[in-house]
Amino acid sequence: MSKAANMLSTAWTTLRSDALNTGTWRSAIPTYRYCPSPCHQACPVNNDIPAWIDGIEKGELHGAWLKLAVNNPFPSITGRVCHHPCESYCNRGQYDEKISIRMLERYLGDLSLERGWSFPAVDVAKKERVAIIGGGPAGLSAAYHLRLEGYTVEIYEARQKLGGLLRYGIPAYRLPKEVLDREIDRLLELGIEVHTDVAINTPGEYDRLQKEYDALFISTGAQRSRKLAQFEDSSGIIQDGLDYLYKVNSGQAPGLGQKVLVIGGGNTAIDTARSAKRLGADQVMIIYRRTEEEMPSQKSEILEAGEEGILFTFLASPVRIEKENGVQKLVCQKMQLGENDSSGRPRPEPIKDAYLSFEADSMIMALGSDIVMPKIGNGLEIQDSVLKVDGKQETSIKNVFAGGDLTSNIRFVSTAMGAGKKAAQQMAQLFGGNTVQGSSDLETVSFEEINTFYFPRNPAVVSGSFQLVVSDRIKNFEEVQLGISEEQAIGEATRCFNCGFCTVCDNCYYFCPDMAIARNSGEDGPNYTVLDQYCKGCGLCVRECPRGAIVLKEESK
Amino acid sequence: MKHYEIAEERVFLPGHAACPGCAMALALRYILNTVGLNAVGVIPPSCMGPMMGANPYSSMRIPIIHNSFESSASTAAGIKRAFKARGKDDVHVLALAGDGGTYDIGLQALSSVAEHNEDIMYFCMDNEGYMNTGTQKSSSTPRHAYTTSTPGGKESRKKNLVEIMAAHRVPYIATTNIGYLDDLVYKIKKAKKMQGTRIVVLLTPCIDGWGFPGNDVATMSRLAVQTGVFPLYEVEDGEKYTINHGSQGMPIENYLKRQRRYRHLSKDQIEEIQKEVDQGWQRLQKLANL
Ligand SMILES: Cc1cc2nc3c(=O)[nH]c(=O)nc-3n(C[C@H](O)[C@H](O)[C@H](O)COP(=O)(O)OP(=O)(O)OC[C@H]3O[C@@H](n4cnc5c(N)ncnc54)[C@H](O)[C@@H]3O)c2cc1C
Ligand SMILES: Cc1ncc(C[n+]2csc(CCOP(=O)(O)OP(=O)(O)O)c2C)c(N)n1
Ligand code: SF4
Ligand code: SF4
Ligand code: SF4
Ligand SMILES: [Mg+2]
Repeated sequence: MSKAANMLSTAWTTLRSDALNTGTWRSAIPTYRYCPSPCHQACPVNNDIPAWIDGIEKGELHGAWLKLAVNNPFPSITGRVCHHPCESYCNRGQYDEKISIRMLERYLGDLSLERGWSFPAVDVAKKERVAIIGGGPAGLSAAYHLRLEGYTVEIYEARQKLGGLLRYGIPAYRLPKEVLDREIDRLLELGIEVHTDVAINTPGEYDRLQKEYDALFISTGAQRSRKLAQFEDSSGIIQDGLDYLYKVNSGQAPGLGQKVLVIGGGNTAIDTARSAKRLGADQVMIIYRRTEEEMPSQKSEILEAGEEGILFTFLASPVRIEKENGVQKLVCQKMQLGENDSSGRPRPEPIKDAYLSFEADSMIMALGSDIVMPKIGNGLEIQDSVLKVDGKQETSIKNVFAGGDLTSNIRFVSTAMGAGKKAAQQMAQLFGGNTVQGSSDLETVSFEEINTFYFPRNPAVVSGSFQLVVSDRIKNFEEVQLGISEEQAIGEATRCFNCGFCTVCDNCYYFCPDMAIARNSGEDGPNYTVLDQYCKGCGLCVRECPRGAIVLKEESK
Repeated sequence: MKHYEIAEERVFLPGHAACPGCAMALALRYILNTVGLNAVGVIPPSCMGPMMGANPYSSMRIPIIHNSFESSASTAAGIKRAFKARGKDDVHVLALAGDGGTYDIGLQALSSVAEHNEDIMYFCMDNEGYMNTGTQKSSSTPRHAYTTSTPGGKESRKKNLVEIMAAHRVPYIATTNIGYLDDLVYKIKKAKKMQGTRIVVLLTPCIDGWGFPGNDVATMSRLAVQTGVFPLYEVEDGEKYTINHGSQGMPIENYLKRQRRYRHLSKDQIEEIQKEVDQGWQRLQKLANL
């Protein structure tokens, strides 16, 4: 150094501080992480909800649908009929109102049908072949995930069309047939062979399938309606609920007269009653032995049925039919609620000598249904009145998997689809593949980890749903619940915290006083890295991440 | 969701010696990176010293002069005049001083500079005390706050610097903080475009001096606004008041209870502070509706 420069150096700084290392100050370092949202964890098909909602918010609708389709081939279906446990766990529910996830799912599903989007083409061919017995939601979901992985899939279905209870149970005013057909058609475009009108019923048929295929997935549902012994031989007056819905859904509904009684409190009871009303019955009453509180059907359906003029009598249990002067009457015993039973609901107990009676032209029994045990091998076991499978949906017979209503008393469309997906995942693993995304047992992002400053209080854009007016809906089978507009969907998506999912909002980058977060442009969009040299471990980025996508991890040096 | 998009020039560098999570360092990032490289800084003794780093290293890619404690405003004004005289009128001259160096010891120089409407930007980094030397009270320290020189809590109220400077009728005064980065950057951009004496007062919560966790500076900054302790507003030409973010009616206790310096407060004292804050907020609203 020259003498002059040397003299200057006491007065002038000549070096940049970014040559220094302040990383040595820290004892903890922020870490970008994958942390599941509670809604994702609660969804039976493990929809990656914060990811596709982010896509909607950003207006990347096709990309959003693709992310949704990774786990759910039928968003237009679940977006209408799913019991949406996701929403019950939504973190935003602890703030103002939960996100209307199901509505958003339906929005994307309907958009994809409207625009004719297809699933990504299957670009691998694997040698293994799987037979699926029963083409309801469980079987179709298994078929989808296996086919996407490149396996050959064939479906055997007893009825003339696929869909199971989606087609022959749930009426069109809740799930239009056109929607169902289009969702199933798109699935079949992946190249799945379907054998309809083929029931697999005998040990011989199962034997053949076991020989021909590498694995089986049995998803024949729970088809046998429960009956009340005292009404065994009143078949002329009494109809079976599932049977009636089958006829309604096939366009051959029988007349029921003016006064219809429906016995039961589940989906079948409500759908039967609402269908009967639409088909001209004047007075339709549901008789249930517990109270509205214990009804297994969804609250919104009970509400809609009430709006449509369906009457409810609670705490009554049918005893016998009486005929007086040509008028039929159902005599019911009055009930009261007792101790909780094994289902966790209070047990209905008869009140001695207390009876009610109702006139009826016809009665429909909707008391739930039981499984028909598949006739395969002789090792299958029954547990809690359903076919026993392990945590991986495998039966006690090797390479024979089962799921849906056949194996579970938790009977919903999405749980059936989740079981199909899980079985597909296990089979893929068995065949040496396995890229089907599963669930994880990681802790979910808690509400406390959300920085609510970034989310102004704002009630749900889509609160509940939009509906056809009652006077219009009881005349026909038009869909009752209407969809939402793009604007409403984006508005609602904007409310989502996107718990645990990095939306590339840049907050962590902006809030670092030490410029220790680097923003990189990666192949799938920007990402971030923590600069070891500068990060002092203050945790401000963690605190200012709106959604818990970073945590501070202690470091031991 | 609220979303930031901030254009930055990289003037402030890492490797500086501010405390981990320091609000002042974060504020400085956006001041320097918004004003840009065509600038000269004037820094008196304060936490801004460690912020710059130890000689021969600097975290600031602009020339900085360390002036005496009391002379930030006048030093800046002199430098600006020198640039003008040499035909380099486009160079921005910034003073970056603490509250001690502004409310107390630098007030006379600032008053004089404001009187002459000298063409500088003056940033007061208000952490409500002499923090660099170990948390002594300044005239910006709020009533009842503990400092090492007010061990029983300060008896007098916080001086209202904005009103003092507004009385000078300078073209621009603004308050802001890092809880509202968009507001902060907006005000610096706005000041940068104007001429004459521009004063920005930034509340920079001090982790050690106030006593709260190091990841909480943004939260604390927001609580100060939401409770009405430190509303974010602008005063143009000493007359026109605009409130950008103000009280949301949140009880003052939400702010106080998170800080060690208020740990000793009695219920009555909290009420007294609440009253003072309410009065201040009402007064400001009146001024804004003039
Ligand atoms: C009226 C009604 C309304 C409902 N509403 C809802 C709702 O709103 N939301 C919700 O989440 N859930 C609802 N559910 C429950 C839901 O429909 C079922 O849980 C779900 O459909 C079960 O799917 P799965 O694939 O296991 O069985 P299924 O849907 O029953 O499908 C089984 C399939 O297997 C076929 N099959 C049966 N035996 C054979 C055989 N031997 N060989 C070949 N094929 C065979 C059947 O024909 C059928 O296609 C409702 C149920 C009913 C009855
Ligand atoms: C004339 C003079 N008196 C005292 C000091 C010692 N001193 C250096 S920094 C400082 C505190 C500055 O307080 P403030 O201006 O509020 O800045 P902060 O440290 O809080 O950022 C003091 C008292 C000094 N450098 N010069
Ligand atoms: S499938 Fe059901 S639980 Fe899953 S996201 Fe859709 S509505 Fe929610
Ligand atoms: S806020 Fe969004 S990501 Fe979080 S739980 Fe609710 S829907 Fe899921
Ligand atoms: S602050 Fe934003 S960019 Fe950073 S991790 Fe969180 S979501 Fe991602
Ligand atoms: Mg200070």
